Amino acid sequence: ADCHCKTYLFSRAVTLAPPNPAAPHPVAGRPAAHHPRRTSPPTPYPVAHPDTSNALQFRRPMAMEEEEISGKELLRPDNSLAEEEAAAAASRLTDDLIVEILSRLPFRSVCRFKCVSKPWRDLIAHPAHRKKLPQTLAGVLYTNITGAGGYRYHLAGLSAEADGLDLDPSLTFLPHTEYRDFGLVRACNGLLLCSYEPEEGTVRFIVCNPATQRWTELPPRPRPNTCRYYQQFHLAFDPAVPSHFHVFDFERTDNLSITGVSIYSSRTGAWCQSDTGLVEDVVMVGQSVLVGGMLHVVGNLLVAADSNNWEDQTVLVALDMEGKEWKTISVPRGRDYGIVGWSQGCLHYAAISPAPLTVGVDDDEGSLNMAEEVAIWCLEDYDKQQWALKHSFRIDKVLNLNEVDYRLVGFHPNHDTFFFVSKGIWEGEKASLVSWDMRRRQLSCVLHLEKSSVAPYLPYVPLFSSEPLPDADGH
Amino acid sequence: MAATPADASSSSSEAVVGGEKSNKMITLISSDGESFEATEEAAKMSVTIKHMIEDGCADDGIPLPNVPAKILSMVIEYCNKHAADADDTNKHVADPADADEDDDNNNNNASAGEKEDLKSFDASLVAVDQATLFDIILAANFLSIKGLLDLACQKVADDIKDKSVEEVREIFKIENDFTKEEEEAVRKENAWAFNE
Repeated sequence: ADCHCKTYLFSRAVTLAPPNPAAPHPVAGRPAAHHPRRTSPPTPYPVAHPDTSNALQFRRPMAMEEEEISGKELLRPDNSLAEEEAAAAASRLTDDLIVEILSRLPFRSVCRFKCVSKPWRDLIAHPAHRKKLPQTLAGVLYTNITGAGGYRYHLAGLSAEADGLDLDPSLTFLPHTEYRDFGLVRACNGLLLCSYEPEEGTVRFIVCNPATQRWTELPPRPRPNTCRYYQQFHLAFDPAVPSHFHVFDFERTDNLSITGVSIYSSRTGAWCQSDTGLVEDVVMVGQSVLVGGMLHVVGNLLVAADSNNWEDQTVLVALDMEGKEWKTISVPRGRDYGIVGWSQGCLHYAAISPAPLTVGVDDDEGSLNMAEEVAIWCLEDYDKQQWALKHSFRIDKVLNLNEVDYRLVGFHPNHDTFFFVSKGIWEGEKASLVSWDMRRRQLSCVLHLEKSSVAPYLPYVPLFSSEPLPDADGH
Repeated sequence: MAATPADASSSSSEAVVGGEKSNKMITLISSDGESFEATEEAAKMSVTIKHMIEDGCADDGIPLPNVPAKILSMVIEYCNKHAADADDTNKHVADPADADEDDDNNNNNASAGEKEDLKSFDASLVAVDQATLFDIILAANFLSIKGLLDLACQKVADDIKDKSVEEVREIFKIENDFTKEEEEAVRKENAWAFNE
């Protein structure tokens, strides 16, 4: 490289001097207005001295067509100038800007990038940044009944993830927790749906965020649901579209198959009714997950096995936020309906297999009759509705089913971990949240829950950033 | 923006009455001394510039010593495009001065076609090399243009999301200061986050 280049680069490394208050003014006689795509030849970039006369020195009288051949290529054919520019630009990024970038990554990527360097590791771990960075499952929210007969709300926290986040799962910030028939209903991507019944037959909803303690009470439905049994409410919130959420209240006649849905949109602030778009008779029975902008709810489809018999077939009912597009997705058969979830980019479904899949050396006909196998499926091809059996395990070998009951709870969004709650069948026994590590084929965590815990058990990923809930001033 | 010669009076320091959109042109001067013109409306997408205008510091042009011409021209392009879009919705808003408020508010009332147009404009604006992208981030941060900062940071995030640790070091020009044992320990802790 010749001396001219070296000098130029050296001066570039110096921080830009603060502007001379007397300068720079547009050079007299030269028009100040420039089209952003400048017509004058580009200067080598960047020039440290704001003095326009120096800038003019570097300009060559190039023709318009040669604009694309920048000065830098003529000086350094090996593109190492571009490399150095990149290094200079990257080094100017402050910690806050790195956090801005990291906050837009999936949780998995941020964990991986802890290995980039010590400063990055420390940045990611720093308490000041924890709430800005992507979150993972903090634990499972649940309710317990106190000795006095009241209800309290708790988080069974996965310690590494929940510590230091100042979450208030007790919901003391909500005035409604003492209202008639208040209860948790759903959790979706950091928001919680709760309900209460000011009087028999009237349901009111609250959507809140335990991490920010913001909440809103939904206006009442224009026409209440005619069927008061077997209520089915769902919450849809996509953190990628944080400006609004939707609440679904499915309508059904007394035979329970859905006839339509009322959907509340926080954007319009109103409920909107739609009739069902399904031809089949479906009863909504289970929980839901938001995938691809559509709510997927576990339901039971009544299918004629023959002229006299009907069979329950579990399906996922998928519908959009307007209640216009409806479809059903078949799920693998289970003994009963199961749990749907979203993990590592894929829709997952867990249910008890109709027949055991795993036979152990210690199994005999008797034990196989009592066998209960949890089968975990993954929807590898959403459009083709092709489920793949991802994993299965004999829960009767993990728990003593003579002494405990269990219920399936849900999937970890980032790991091959599945959660269930087990509870001793005897009076007064405490329940435990159990996590099953699919890869290692073993229990990875057992958390004891408060006495007299009850459903729903809601896997909870906290949300600290932008959300569609009003702050204290109502904004 | 048309390349019209400016006259001296276009930078005169008339205080803007709150709530009125003015057609005044503001002169912005890059670190390398180039001058650019933008409408006041577009310029005010930068909270930094907005404050300078309101404080009456914009009379003789606003020097931006941290922003080179190449980047400033891209920033102005962004502001022009998004100010025009915000204009459609701000007709309903009492105080259009707060042009930096959430971009989704700007897009809410735009038609589907306009939204698409804006999206593809944004995408092509940030389809640049890493160094330029970093410079856009620095400029958007310095100028407090939230929408542009979000856009550029999201682009970098999208680019690096699936990259390896080594690739990220290369992109950000970061030296690996872990010892072999330290690095192994962090990797082990986060083994699930790596491709097996």
